[in-house]
Amino acid sequence: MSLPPPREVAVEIAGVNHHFGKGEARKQVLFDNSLVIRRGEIVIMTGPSGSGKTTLLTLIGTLRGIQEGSIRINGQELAGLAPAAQVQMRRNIGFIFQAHNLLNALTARQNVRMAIELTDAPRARYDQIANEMLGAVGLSDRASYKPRNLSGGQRQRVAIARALVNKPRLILADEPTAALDKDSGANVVRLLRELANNHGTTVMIVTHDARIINVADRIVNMVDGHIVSDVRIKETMIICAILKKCSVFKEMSPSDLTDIAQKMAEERFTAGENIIRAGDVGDKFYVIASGETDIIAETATGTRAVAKLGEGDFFGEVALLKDQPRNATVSARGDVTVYSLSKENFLAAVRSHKSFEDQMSAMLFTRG
Amino acid sequence: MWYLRQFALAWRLLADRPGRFALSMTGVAFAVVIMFTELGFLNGVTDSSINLAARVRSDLVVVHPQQEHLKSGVEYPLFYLQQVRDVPGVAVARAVYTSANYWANPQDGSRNRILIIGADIDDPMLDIPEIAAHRAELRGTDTVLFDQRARAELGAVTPGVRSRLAGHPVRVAGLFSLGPNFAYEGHVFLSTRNFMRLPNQRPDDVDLGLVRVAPGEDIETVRQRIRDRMGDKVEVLTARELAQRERDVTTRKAPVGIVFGLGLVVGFAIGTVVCYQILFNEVSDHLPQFAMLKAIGHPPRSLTVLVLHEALILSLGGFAAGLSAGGVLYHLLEQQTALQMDLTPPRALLVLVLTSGMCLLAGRLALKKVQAADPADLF
Repeated sequence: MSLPPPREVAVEIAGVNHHFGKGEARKQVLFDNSLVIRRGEIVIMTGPSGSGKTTLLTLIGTLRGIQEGSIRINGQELAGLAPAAQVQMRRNIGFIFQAHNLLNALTARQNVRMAIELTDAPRARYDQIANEMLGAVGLSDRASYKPRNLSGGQRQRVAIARALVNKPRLILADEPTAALDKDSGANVVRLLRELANNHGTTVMIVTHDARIINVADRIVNMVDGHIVSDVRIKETMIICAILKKCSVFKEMSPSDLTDIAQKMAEERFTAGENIIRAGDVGDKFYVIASGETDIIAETATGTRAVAKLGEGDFFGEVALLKDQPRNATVSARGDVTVYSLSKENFLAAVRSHKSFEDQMSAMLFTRG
Repeated sequence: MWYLRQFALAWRLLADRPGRFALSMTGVAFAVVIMFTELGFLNGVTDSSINLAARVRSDLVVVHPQQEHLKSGVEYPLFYLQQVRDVPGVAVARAVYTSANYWANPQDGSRNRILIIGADIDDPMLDIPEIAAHRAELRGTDTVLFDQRARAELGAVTPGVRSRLAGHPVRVAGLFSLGPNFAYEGHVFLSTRNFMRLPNQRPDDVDLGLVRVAPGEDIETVRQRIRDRMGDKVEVLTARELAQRERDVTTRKAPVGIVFGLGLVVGFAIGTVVCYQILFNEVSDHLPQFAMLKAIGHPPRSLTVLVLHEALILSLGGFAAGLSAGGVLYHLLEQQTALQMDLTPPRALLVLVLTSGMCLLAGRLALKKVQAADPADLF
């Protein structure tokens, strides 16, 4: 497993606060939230009711005005956006609401067409486009049905078809699979995944449906208006797999490893750049997510590369455990992505483990 | 094209529930019928009030300056008309006499109020072709033409019937058509000579002087000459101005005109409220969908057009139904009241404009609800 190259930022949230009500009834519901989501990511937002995740979603969807802070969608700042520009912005967003909100007077095809009409697609192709999208959600044979003649799940799939038909760059979904059975839900999730992979569509889903968690690239958890965790699933799995190889962490539970992984920050280096330098005070522990590095040390024959480290390797723990300066330089051979853990978090993690002393001894033994 | 699509969508939204749509149409049609009825009465009153004035075929009409309308009974001396006749450019000036009196029903003897018109039967300058047709009989003593559109209370009157007019015995020589109005149940026409044979009638009390200008003379120039000559002793009108004066008196000063005019306004107001209620319910039912349309990027303008199209469809449908019902109602009212209830294209157009205005106004009010639809509430 390796990390994909970083894609451009799709959604950038910075210092967002939001209040409801006025005067004495004014209540803050979002507190200084910041989040960066890249193109093609599927982000699942979880949290208890009233935690602010839906409010945040409506702000991103330009359905509410931003009071404090900044939200940028594909580089476009939403704060202070004129109403007409907000409408234009929303045309690039696919909304999937918990309530389908289909027009009962229209057929499934006509409902989907309501979204197509907002694009530059040739009018002659409206029906064809709508039919293709309805086919993609498994409703080819229901295109001419009115919502009253469809089941709850089918109606929701029509609403999803309406949201996806224009292949929007951003999809905001509120419990999109709540009304769907297992197969239909899986079908929708597959569609979202395809859009994310093939078109770089960014998807944000508010859900309590554990069945679709595995589609997520990230899981953002909100509590009381704060983003309390932002788990990058793939990265976390990579980091955990590497940590598992490290004797210091290998006895830890997946939960503990995930906690550590979340505290690690991504750092990128280019060829020839030093990641750590011999003699410096050790302040971080590193795992290599991608790329190769040289370990450069003083030898009897001079300073030279004595070893190579690659994807899945780790380094920097000895200086932290012994509280000594770095004994070698680690330099990037090409583009390298590492995840670093601060000394403080590293030691806290190690000490919290009951077999700390044993682990330390074992590690020091294996490293010589 | 976009407007047509919005129109089609509005139609689908309304027609999706046929029962409710029919009920909505009925509501609007009800308001349309109210307006048609009030307008019908208003026009019936005004049309009837000018029924005599509209038959005047002279170039100019000389009346007493204090005469507000033909029924006010303000007369002027015959010699004024003789002076008018001497004004250069005047070819003919003839007196028309009118008198409000009673006609005895030849069947049961009951008396009903009627307007008696006396004029020169050789050159009446009135558009009543029956005068010429019955000129010979009208030269006879105590012969009259009877208004065949008079109310039924005046009896079954046919040529040859004998009855009493102002208590004076007369014989019906023929029939003509003028119709009743709110003041009189009908009309009787007779020659000046026979008019003067009725009790209390004097040739010197002229109601109308009908003037024909000489060929090649400009009517306005002649009118000015008459004014210069007569000063403020008389008022000189054209036939059109005379009819307009009668109409204005009825619509603006007479209680019936004001009442029916107000009725028309009330009908418009009722229709607006009914239409607003219908559209308000329609909009309320679709509010989440409208909010959804806003959310996915339909501009507010499209929702405005959508709701106004719904209003327009309701107005057209309601008007069509109301027009049909109004036509039947006019026929029944005309039969019952003998009032002239003409459903002319301009009048139908007026009601269509009022209906459309009423529904569009209601739509505009209902739009506030649409504008308040917050797409953020959908999440």
